[in-house]
Amino acid sequence: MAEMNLEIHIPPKSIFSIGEISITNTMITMWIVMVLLIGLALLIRYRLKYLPAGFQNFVEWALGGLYDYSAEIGGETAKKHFSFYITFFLFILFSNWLGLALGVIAEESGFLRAPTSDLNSTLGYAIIAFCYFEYQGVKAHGFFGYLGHFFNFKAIIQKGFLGLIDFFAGILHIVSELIRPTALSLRLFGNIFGGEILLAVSFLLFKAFVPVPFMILEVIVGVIQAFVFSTLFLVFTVLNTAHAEEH
Amino acid sequence: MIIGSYGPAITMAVGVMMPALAIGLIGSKAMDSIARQPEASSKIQTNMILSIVFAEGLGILTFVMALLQLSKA
Repeated sequence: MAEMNLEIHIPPKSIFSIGEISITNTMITMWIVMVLLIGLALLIRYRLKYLPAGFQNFVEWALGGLYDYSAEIGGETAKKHFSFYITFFLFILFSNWLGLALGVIAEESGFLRAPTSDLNSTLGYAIIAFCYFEYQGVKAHGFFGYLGHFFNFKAIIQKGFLGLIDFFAGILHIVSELIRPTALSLRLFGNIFGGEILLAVSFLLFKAFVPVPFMILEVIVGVIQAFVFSTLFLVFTVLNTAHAEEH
Repeated sequence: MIIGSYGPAITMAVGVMMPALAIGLIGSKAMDSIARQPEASSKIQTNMILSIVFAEGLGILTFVMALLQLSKA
């Protein structure tokens, strides 16, 4: 039996460093994704035609579909948050797919790796999402109105002793609020990193043919995880901005 | 410890059981409701995917714990 050694690196590999900051392989892949997305956007922007054809047609179809879809999930208010939603979706989708396309090829050198298979970057996305939906919550209810959801003194004053139940529900709400970014980042990281390990093991055991269905599975997982992250972000934002009478 | 280096394997095996059951139940219920009301299938599918994701999150937590054990060993 051939010697099998599988090395699993949870932290990303440092390629080179500028001063104190080390540039890792996931960062390089992330820059490639950024350049790709900005390039695509500019390409579409400067070639806009009144009658869409070819690639512009495809982009309009995809964005229009997602725009209607976001309104379907979160109602009319969700349309305001569409720019963030679509940015998360496209960025995570391209990260997953680029990692899938390049990561396996560059397996030996480890030069490129999916940004989403690094807990640092998924935590970064989750913190951005967290800040955004907290900010929207404060914007919709006012600072003290928003804090009132968590420290519900108003219920005690209004309902007396029974209001204590509402007060403790508010305290529990803090926990559920704080667990959102943790769950978002761990979910994305676990799925993508788990998929990479699955692919690495299948490439180690069988050189050809057998990994193909796993690759297809990972392509689908990449779409679903990008969709899930952005949709959960949208749902949390809409929940935070919704007024108390509505939910 | 008797468990030794089998810790991550046992963690995964035990921790994945219940999420798997949950995902199966969610899927089967969703199929039932789509068969009953095919016109609501798009709404059901979205909610199904979201619920599956929440159940799957538990499995992912297990996976992260197994990875932590693996990296310490």
